[in-house]
Amino acid sequence: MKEKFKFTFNLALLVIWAVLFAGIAVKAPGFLSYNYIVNVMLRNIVEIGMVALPMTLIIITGGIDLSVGNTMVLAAMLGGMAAAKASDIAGVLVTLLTGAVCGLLNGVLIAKAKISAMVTTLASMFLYLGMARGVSHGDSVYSYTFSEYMGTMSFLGIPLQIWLYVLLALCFTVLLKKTAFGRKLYSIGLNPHATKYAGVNTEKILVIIYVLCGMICALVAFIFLGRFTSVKYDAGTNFNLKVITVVVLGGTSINGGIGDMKGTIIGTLIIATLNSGLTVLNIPIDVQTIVQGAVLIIALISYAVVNNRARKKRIIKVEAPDALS
Amino acid sequence: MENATILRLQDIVKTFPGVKALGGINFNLKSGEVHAICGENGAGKSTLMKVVCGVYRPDSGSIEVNGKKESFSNPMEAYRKGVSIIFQETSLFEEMTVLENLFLGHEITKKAGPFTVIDYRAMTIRAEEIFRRLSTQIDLHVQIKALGMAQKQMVEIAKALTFDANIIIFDEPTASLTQREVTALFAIIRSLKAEGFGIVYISHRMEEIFEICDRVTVIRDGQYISTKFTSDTDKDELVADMVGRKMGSYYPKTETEIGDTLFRAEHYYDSGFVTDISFYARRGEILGFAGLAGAGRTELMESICGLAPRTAGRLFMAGNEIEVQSYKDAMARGIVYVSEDRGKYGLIADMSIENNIALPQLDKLVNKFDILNTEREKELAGRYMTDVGIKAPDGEFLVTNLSGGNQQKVAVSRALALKPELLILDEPTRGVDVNAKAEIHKIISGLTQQGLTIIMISSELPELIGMCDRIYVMKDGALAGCFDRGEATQEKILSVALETKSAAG
Amino acid sequence: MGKKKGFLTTEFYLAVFLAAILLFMAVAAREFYSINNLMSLLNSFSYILISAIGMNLIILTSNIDVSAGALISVVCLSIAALGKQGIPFAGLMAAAMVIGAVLSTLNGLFITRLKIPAIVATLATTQIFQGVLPLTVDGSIYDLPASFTWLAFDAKIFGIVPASVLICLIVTVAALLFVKYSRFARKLYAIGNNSNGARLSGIRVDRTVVWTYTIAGALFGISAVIIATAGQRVTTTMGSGLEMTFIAAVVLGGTNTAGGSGKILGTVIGAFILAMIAPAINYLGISPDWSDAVKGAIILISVVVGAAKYIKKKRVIDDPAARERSAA
Repeated sequence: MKEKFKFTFNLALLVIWAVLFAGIAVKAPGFLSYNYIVNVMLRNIVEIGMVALPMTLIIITGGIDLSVGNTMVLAAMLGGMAAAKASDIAGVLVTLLTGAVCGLLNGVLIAKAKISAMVTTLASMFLYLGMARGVSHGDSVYSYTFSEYMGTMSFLGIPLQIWLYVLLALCFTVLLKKTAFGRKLYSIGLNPHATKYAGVNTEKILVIIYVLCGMICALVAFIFLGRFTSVKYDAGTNFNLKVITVVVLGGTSINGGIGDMKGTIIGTLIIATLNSGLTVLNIPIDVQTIVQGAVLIIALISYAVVNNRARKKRIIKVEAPDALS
Repeated sequence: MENATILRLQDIVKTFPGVKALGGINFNLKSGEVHAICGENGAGKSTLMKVVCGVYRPDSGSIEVNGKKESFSNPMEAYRKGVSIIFQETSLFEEMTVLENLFLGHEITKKAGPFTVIDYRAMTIRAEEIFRRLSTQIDLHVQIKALGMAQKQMVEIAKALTFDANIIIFDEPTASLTQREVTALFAIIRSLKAEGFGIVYISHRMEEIFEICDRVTVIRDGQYISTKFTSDTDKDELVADMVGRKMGSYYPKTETEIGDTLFRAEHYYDSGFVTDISFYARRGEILGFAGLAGAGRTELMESICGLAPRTAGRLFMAGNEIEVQSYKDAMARGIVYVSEDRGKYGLIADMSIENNIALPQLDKLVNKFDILNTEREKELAGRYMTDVGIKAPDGEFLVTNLSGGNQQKVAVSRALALKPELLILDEPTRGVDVNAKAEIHKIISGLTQQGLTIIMISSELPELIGMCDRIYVMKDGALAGCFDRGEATQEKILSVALETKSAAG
Repeated sequence: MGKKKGFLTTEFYLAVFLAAILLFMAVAAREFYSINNLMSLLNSFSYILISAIGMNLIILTSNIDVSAGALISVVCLSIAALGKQGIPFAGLMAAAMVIGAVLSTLNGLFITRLKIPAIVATLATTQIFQGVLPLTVDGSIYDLPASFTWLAFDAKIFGIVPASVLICLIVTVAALLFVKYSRFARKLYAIGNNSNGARLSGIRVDRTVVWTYTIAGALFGISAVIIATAGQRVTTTMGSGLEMTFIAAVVLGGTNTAGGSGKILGTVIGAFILAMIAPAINYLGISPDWSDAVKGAIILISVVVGAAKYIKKKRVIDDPAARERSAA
């Protein structure tokens, strides 16, 4: 039953995407060029899309990470500074290490200290933002060879970061859908107590996914730095909510336990198409924001209607055991 | 005028889907009277009171309060009309202060210019007056979460008094009180009675009923059985009414050969409640654990399984000492626990049957890349679904859409799939209808024939007596007695479980 | 029994912490106490606190509002458009409160009617608010008349204290009284504690939550007036990012985001600490670039300390013995 429900929603999302895509293509034929689709539409969404992958895992466990954008910027910055002072290798290592440490801090506070994910990552958001600002003194940090390579190189005519995204999207889809680890994530999101009572080490799993999220942020940091050639401390501010928007649009429930990777990927495509398509149509960027918001609201309302209906069916059953206690 | 009937219930019927919880209950309460409602766990006492105060709506029947027909939509409304209830699980708001809780929803207000404001002075005076009447001192400005159970109960009583209610319902008030606190509570109940309050006292503790109550009404399986003056009856008669004459003949216990000792616990302590427990279980045996709610049975088993801490004691499996740090360790040693609370600690309701069965051993169903082999998962689940007889279209059916009995069978299947040697079932038939109950009993019986050892915690004595080879009785975190199959009767077990001083075991 | 209510509350620790910083500043950087600095500090403290109080009410009901910043931007621009017509301060204030209240009520309805988690619902409305703005104006509204900037430049108490401080004082005192003496505020705590229990106590939970958003919206509107009237130019992003500061002030003040506990007084101190960090750091000769990091660290530490206290208590509640007793 659940499979069916998910299937129809992903299908609906896919149809929405197709309609959007076709509509924009008809209105503005220039949109359909290979160059535009690959180098504008897809390339601009890669960073958000990539972070949305681990974010989906986190939200499925019932958590959230509001600090991803700031983790990315901090990692890019410290890496860029290390590269400027020492070598590219130092830059790469520092970037990855920063991502991992940021994720670890979030994970430990959430899993071990049992602080709510929202409060933890809200505080760490400030911390990472402030550290990025502090170490850079508000100045830009510039790209170096490796990040340039990550952000600008193409392979077989397609930018490297798109290859990377496709690879990661595949890995995450398999991870969530096919592995025991993925199954445990759903289980935690649906009922953390019962999952623990089934002998699953829930704390360890939570720490792992937050660290994983930090690592992906670090990877994205290279691409981001390379694509824009420089980064300032406040670059990640809107990034956090954009990532969450994509995940929620993809049908993942913020309460945990429901959602899948395919939805997130289609959600990413929809936002990418909207952004670039509306630009092509010469619609100002602000209308684009409204349209994005409207799409999200429509999605939320439809999810809410379906979920409420499902809940009503269940209410009768919930009451019964109580009567006998 | 004196001793007028202030609460009259007539033919109250309440059904939940698939269960007739109350089938025509009659009850009346006079002013200045303490009237007990007594019955076994699950007899419908609490449901009846929830109907009275508006948590549930009755299907039929009438409720008359102070001579007027009433139908409350929530407890606050009931309070206003004079009926107050003190739930077992207190309904107080933990983060708020005593004073705020006492007057929540009916704060005393005064005019301050154009504004209506809460009059803390008036509320404080009123609250102090009430606590004085109860001869109790509680700081009005302390948060509820800082109070002990007895104090919380005192606040609940005081809350009832803030409403000028003349009917107070106590739902198992002594379940979590110490002896001294019980004495204090009884003093208060007596003084309330003297002031003309009508008091409904729900309990199954015999000595309390005879100590404090004037009349007692017995209900059994949601049916009205009898109402008697406590002065005209005795404990044996009440127990007989509570139990009925439906002794264990229909329990499908088959004689099995009992082998050597499989499991042994020595001087076991959990983190504070369970004290100095030593017991053993033999192969092929069904071992019962009886006791009142809160006697420490669940705590003991959870601690043995590594789900709660242990402070002292040793565990042995087939003669070898075992070390259990986490539930994983216990499972590896062949000990599996099925929780009493299916919803919260047992199953993942929104997952399919097969996902639930596979959950504890997912790590055994994967290849080296952690990819789940869903074929093996299906096969594993399918095998146990048929063995246990889960009635569902297929393994992909969501657990939440199953009946209570079938959910319990999923929980049992999941445990069996782990191939345990010792299976601990905590209230395996709670919230399950009669037919499913019988089926679960049959399954349990069948398991012992395959050489499994079963520990069964249950609050239903007939079930324990009908199914178990031996029954341990727990009381206040310690073992209070042990009966062999031949000698165990409900009366004997009850008297040990209820005894104020623990009997020798 | 009879335990005295301790002074060792979160607010007490925070106040001590605040006093320590203030004392330290007096020794280490006396210039911190210059009139100019104090007045500008008080000004930013005013608008942070007024909105943080609104946020505090919302969080008490265990909801949240991440659209507050965008909402403030909308209000800023709306009143700028009105101010351009020469509408006096009183009219601007009234308009701001109404617009803020209406927009925030929409959030409340969205959350309660559709049962969408507050964080997601307000995330969606954030985007709508953000997008609507620039549609109506092109970048910014400028050359605003003196009637518009009256609050910031002319309305000084004793010729020196900004009037925003007076507004803030009124709001704070009103909020303290409201939380203590109104029956409505009791309901907020009850809902945040246990919304099902509140329902059983006859409280209309959804309706109360919507009203809470309405009140908070009016407060966001007041903040918007202070922010917008600080200059002759109002841009489309005047409020962006502020929501996080408001939430941070509330969290720092000891309010649990799970709802049901927390005091306005804590939020007052929390807001003051947050407003003070940037100038304090500046006067200490540390680069202002570190102020956000210090903010983050302070919030994180206070949350961890709070959690440590909470975990100790939670053990007792999670104790299976207590569970069985209550479950039976």
